[in-house]
Amino acid sequence: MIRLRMLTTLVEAMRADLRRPHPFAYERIGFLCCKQSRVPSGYLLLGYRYVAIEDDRYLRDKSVGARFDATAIRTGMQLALTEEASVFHVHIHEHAGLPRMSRVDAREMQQLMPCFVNVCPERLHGALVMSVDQAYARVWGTALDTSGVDVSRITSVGDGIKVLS
Amino acid sequence: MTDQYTRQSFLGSKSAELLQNATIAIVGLGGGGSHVAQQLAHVGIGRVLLFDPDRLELSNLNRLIGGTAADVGARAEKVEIARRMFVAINPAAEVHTYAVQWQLAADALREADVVISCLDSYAARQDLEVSVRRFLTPLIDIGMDVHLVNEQPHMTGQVILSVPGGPCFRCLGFLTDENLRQEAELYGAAGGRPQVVWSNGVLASVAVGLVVELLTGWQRRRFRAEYLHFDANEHVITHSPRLEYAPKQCTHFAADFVGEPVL
Repeated sequence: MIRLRMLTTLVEAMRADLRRPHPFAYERIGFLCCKQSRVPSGYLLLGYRYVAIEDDRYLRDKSVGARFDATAIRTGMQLALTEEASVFHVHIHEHAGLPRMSRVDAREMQQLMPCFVNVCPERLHGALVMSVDQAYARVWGTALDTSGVDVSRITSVGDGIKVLS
Repeated sequence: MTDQYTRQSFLGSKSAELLQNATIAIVGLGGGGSHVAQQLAHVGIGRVLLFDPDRLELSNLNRLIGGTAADVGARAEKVEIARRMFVAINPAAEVHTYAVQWQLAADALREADVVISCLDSYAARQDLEVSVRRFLTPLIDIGMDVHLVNEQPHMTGQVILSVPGGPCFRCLGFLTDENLRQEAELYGAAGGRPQVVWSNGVLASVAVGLVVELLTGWQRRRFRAEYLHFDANEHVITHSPRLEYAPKQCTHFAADFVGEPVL
């Protein structure tokens, strides 16, 4: 079982950033850094920092909601390497309820995740899809199936405990 | 929602599911923790982690819920007494017991959505809060003591909620260098602290109420901390004024102070 836990203030900061309009991209993207711990039932991931992708790191590509350049990918890889962090690619689907990864998301993550796993193979890395009130996450790692594993429970802690997934 | 929980359906349409899917840890299964365990079983918590290295003694029977004279004879582990009580009320629950100091099973404690501290000393509370804050886990502390006021026993207690990001026990003035120092000076000389079943029950009930509120949000209240003072002689619970003067954000634990310490 894989759990992801973070402060509600961090979740709110991510949502606020991801909902800002971009000059040309349909969506925004960021990276969530997590510390990873082993627990008897599996893994516990603790979100501690969100890094927004700068406006000029986006590429014009109408086939996807947002595409970023190699510098942005290196930013994520650097976070994994130097902070020994589990790094999540984060974006938002503008609806209420439980979000899912689109086919485009799934395809893109299959290409992106090996970058993070290769620089920091001791950690799980993943994709976090937020909605306006819930979230979905999937992780990849050397010990996991190549198609990734769903995060079982995502919670935010602040004014109460919100179960996001 | 099953018939078992229809009388608490006002907690919200998803409350039974939220409580069923939650993991709650109780550290200390004595007079306070045993009450907490019993009530968590009744409200429908689906998974509990019970930590206590001690076995039942005759002097515990005045207050330990679920304990029997036969358990004293058998020197039963307190966690096993709590487990037996929990599954008798809620057979579907997943109960994990750790008959050791919680530090020796710290990886298990990390799974908890909420930790309830039913420990005796300030130092032990400090150790527990430092650990659970690193894993972004709300901590609820309950405790009581008896002091002589004008040569009359006066029972007091507290229920404190410490939520990561919000004020901690030190921010709230509950833990201070002075009370830790005084406790250290008395180490080994304090003897058994006075404890009675009814005041422990009040404090445990308030703690369980906070757990249910944290998980279900049924009051739609926004709160980052709670500090309730119990005057057990007068049977009155009040908000501690310390809550009003505490900083809104913790000044002792940084928000990115998470995960296992790197040594």
